[in-house]
Amino acid sequence: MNTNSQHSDEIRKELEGIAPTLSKIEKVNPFEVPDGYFENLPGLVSDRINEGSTAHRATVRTLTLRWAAVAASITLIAAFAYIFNNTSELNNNMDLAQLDIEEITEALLNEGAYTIEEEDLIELLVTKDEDPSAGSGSGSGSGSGQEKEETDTDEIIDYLIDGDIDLTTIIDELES
Amino acid sequence: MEEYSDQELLQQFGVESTRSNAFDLLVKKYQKRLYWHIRKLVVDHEDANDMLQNVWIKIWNGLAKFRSDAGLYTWMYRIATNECLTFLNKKRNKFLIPLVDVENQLSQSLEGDMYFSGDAIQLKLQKAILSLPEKQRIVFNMRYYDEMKYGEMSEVLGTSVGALKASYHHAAKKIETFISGD
Repeated sequence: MNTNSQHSDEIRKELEGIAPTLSKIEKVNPFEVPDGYFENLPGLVSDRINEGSTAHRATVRTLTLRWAAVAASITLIAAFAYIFNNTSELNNNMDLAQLDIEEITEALLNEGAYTIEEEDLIELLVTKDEDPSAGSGSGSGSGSGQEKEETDTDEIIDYLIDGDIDLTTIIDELES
Repeated sequence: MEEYSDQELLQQFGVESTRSNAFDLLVKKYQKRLYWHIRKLVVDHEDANDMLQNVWIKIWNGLAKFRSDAGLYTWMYRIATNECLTFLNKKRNKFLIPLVDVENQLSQSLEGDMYFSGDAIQLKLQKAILSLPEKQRIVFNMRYYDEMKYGEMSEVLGTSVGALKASYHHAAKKIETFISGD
């Protein structure tokens, strides 16, 4: 018996012990999809990704023009200030006025002033703390530490089941 | 068609010239499993389709930063699960209705769903599943339909293995009571 069918068999036996009627129901997928859906999906996803990068480029271009307009306004104000005041104290304003437009734009874009990247949120999910004892499936490891953890887990499960304590329901109730 | 391993696809994705093709192969490899996971949670095909496309875009955006020591499928599954939870919460907030009513709505929509082909017992089973609390429903589907190991489920949901076993046990018992009734 290969590993997959062994695993399926474990799940079936587990269910028989908990819910005998349910375990007798044929396990089928009762949902359907429109004809050709899975054949067309990769193309749709690809199109959306390409649209997204086009939209992103367009956004950057629009923002670049906007920042360029801001920088140009600053330049004009500084120039007027210089003309009217004509004093040596204008150096700071002149420094501002002489800033390269592209440098201003680049600095603002580098600072991420206009957007929050979704991949940063995904990164948060990826780096979420993982329980090392939970990564190897059920009962595939060895050693006294792991055996103790499994014993503790079994005790917890027995306690929840014997006491008919539904942890998920409690969590949902607390969150609602 | 030759099916590449996750590691091979990740390597190809890391090279600009093969990135698009690698991602296309990744979509083809996992689209059905992710779709059915989403579909069973949100019921409606159009909603599942929208969500699945969003999930793939999020995967595309995050894949370059994906740490290859973690399971790729588990990571994608987690994105899909979170997308479903967000969708159901939005639906609840949009209509200012309690979650249980959202599940009732989904349950009612099953009967008129042109893409539902189950018989009476399958309809009853789906209604029983939809009567479960949201997270218990996810746990039940992952174990019953997707036959995931508790360790993998723990990685996806960030819940301990013990709590997941208890959750699955209670879910199965509730469904048993539901389908054995009347």
